[in-house]
Amino acid sequence: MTMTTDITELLPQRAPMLMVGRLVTAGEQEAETDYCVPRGHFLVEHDCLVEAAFIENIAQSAAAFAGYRARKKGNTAPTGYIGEIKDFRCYGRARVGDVLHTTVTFILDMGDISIAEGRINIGGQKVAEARLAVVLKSGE
Amino acid sequence: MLKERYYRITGSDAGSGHAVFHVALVEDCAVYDGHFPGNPVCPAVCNIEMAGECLAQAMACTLHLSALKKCRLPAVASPRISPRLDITLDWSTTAGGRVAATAVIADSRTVYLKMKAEYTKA
Repeated sequence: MTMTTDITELLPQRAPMLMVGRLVTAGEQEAETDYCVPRGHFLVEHDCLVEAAFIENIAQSAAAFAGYRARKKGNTAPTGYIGEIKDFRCYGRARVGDVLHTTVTFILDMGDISIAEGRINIGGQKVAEARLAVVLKSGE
Repeated sequence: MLKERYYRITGSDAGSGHAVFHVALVEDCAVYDGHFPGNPVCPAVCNIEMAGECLAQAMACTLHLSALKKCRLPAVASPRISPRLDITLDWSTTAGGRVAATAVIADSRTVYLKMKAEYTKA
C-alpha cells in the first residue's frame, strides 16, 4: 500500500531528531521509509551522517510503521524506545542530500515490545542493517 | 561532534586499553526540542555517539563505528534524571587494525547503556 500520511502523525519526534521523511509503503509485516539527509543536521559532520544515526533511522522507521498500524486501529501513534540493538553493521556513509531507503520488517510482536529488522539502501547499495527490540508506549 | 553541544567532559581517567569519562549532559541541547517535545530523553544515537567520541579521545584518533554486536539500553537517560554520567570504556586493537570496544554508560544507581562495538580508524 502506498502512503501519503504526514510523518508527524506517525512519530512523536520533531526536528532536529525527526529522522524519517516519509512512510512510503506499508504491508502486513514490512514497511519502507525514505529520508533525505539535510545539510546542517545535528548528526552531520564533514557533510556525512554519523554512522550511529543509521540505527536511529531504522528505529524511527519501525516506530512510524507501528504508528501507522496503531492509527489503522483508531489508536494514537505510540512513542518508541530502543531496548536493544543487535548485529548492526555499517557498510558505507550517507552524505548530505543522499536519500536513505529503509526497509523494516517486524519479525516478532510481544505486547509492548517488537523485534524489527531493518536495512538501509542508498542508490541501490546497502549501507547499514540492524535488528532492534523496540519498546512501544502508547498514550505519551 | 556532540562534545560541548550534547555533553561536557568533567573528568577522565585513561590508561592503556581502559578509560573512564565523567560527563555532564547539556540540558538545553537542541536534541531535546524534538526527542521528545515536553518529554526530554536522551536519544540512543547520541549516547552511542558520545561513547564513541570519548573512545576516540582516549585513543587520540578518529574512529568510525562499523558494527555493534550488541547494545542494551535497559533504562532511559535524560538530563533531568541523569544529568551526570560515567562512561567506562575498554578496548583492544585487532589484527586487522580494527578497534573492538565495550562501553557502559551509567550513574551511581542505573545502567543506561551497555554495548560491544567495533570501529575503524580513519
